[in-house]
Amino acid sequence: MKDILHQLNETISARGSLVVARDGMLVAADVMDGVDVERLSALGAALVTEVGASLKSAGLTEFSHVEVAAEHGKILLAEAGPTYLMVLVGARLEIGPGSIEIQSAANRLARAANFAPTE
Amino acid sequence: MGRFSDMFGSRSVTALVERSRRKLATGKLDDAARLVESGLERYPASSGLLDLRLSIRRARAHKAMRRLEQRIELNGDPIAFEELIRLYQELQLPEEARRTAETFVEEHPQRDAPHLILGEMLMEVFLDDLQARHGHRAHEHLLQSANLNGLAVRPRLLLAEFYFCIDAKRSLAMMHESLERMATDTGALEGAFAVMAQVADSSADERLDGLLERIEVEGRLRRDPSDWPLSNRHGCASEVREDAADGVVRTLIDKGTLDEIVLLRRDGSVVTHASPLGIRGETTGEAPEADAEEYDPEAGTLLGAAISRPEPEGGFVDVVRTVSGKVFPQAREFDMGKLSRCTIRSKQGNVVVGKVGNVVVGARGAASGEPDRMWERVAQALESVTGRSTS
Repeated sequence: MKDILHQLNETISARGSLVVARDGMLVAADVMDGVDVERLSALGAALVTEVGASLKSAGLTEFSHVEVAAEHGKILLAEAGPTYLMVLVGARLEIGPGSIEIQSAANRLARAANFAPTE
Repeated sequence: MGRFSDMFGSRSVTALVERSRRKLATGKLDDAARLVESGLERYPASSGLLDLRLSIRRARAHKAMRRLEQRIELNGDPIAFEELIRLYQELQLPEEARRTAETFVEEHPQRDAPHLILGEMLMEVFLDDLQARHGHRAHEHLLQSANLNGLAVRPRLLLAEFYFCIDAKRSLAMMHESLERMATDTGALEGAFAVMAQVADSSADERLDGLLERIEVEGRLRRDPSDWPLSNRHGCASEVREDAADGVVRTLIDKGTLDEIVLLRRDGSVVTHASPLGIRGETTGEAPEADAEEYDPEAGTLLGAAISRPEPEGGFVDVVRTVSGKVFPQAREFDMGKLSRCTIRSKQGNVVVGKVGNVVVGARGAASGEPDRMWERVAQALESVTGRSTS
């Protein structure tokens, strides 16, 4: 998973990316220097669990994409099988959660997660 | 000369655009600008000429930027710094402006101007995002600017405005005193003096750290910047007129632009909440008012244009509260500049949460719709009821 994240970061010059389980647990991460992985995963957990729960109560049970856009960057969350892929992209990068690179990484992560050994 | 001869005399709009474009391409900006301006006198609605005018302005700005950057590189010219920052601001490049202001401070720490410029920028950031660290930095630079220039009124006025917004009564009292001592034109500052006299309290027990932390946690300023008499701040000072908001959300729902919309104040309380079932404002728990005959008590819904007052719990309101109260503050930690919005796509519908004026807006539309377009319509409609506070 880490390789997939690393490749994605290289391809789209992302500041970092990580995989979050549906319960908000951090599964894997690859971030550049200066990005606090704990903060990023806390945000991922908040998006997946807290926002997820409130969406459910509003009848929006299956969210596939989230994009938090700012003046000089974006945080993207895309469904990746049983997990979510979260990416922090920097300035002037016209990329969304539906873009090919993100979707391709999400698909590979989904396959990796499905083949991961379970306890 | 008539239009027919214009065409053959290379004076048709197409010919003008082409000639101007060639001048622009060869770097002859003045010639290109002259052609475009004279062309616009004859063809004021020509989109080709208007686009070219914009391109020429950008090219000129870039040229000026390069010249200023060279001057800064050569000898750290403080005037070039100030001009470059202003240019970035005019071109709406706030991040570049701030970066340049930071460099200006680093290179000229003993001058008051760089601290003032950076302090004001950081104050704008703080008033928007309410992060204590931005408040501290704004305060630090404004104070430094005031200390370096004992005769300057502007940093002191900005400090007074800052203290007013965070309710630092004792600091405000000190600033009031200092401004009264130095102001020569008291007429211009009369309103500010009156407000300071009313709010300031030299005996107040306060710690700036505590005040800023509390503001960050509570997610709201103690006083709205628009209540400061000299305020000309737009983003943070603009307010959605709550009395008019109901009408706007009703129209958006009636037109079918949205399935649901919620407007929240910074503290998370509901301004208004509308769906095709009706419009709900805040908070008294009273029975629906307005057109009583349109209220269906069995269904508990409002048919058409009625307004009721229960505080909506759960559902879509919670989605908007969670995004604005949990996601936005955490996202700000990643130095991405001003947050614009959060878009969520699901099979059951799309959601966009963002800020318009002083309210947080959450809109929900069909899954087949385009969330960016939905947001544009919502923001545009709400901007029509955004204005300065009258209080």
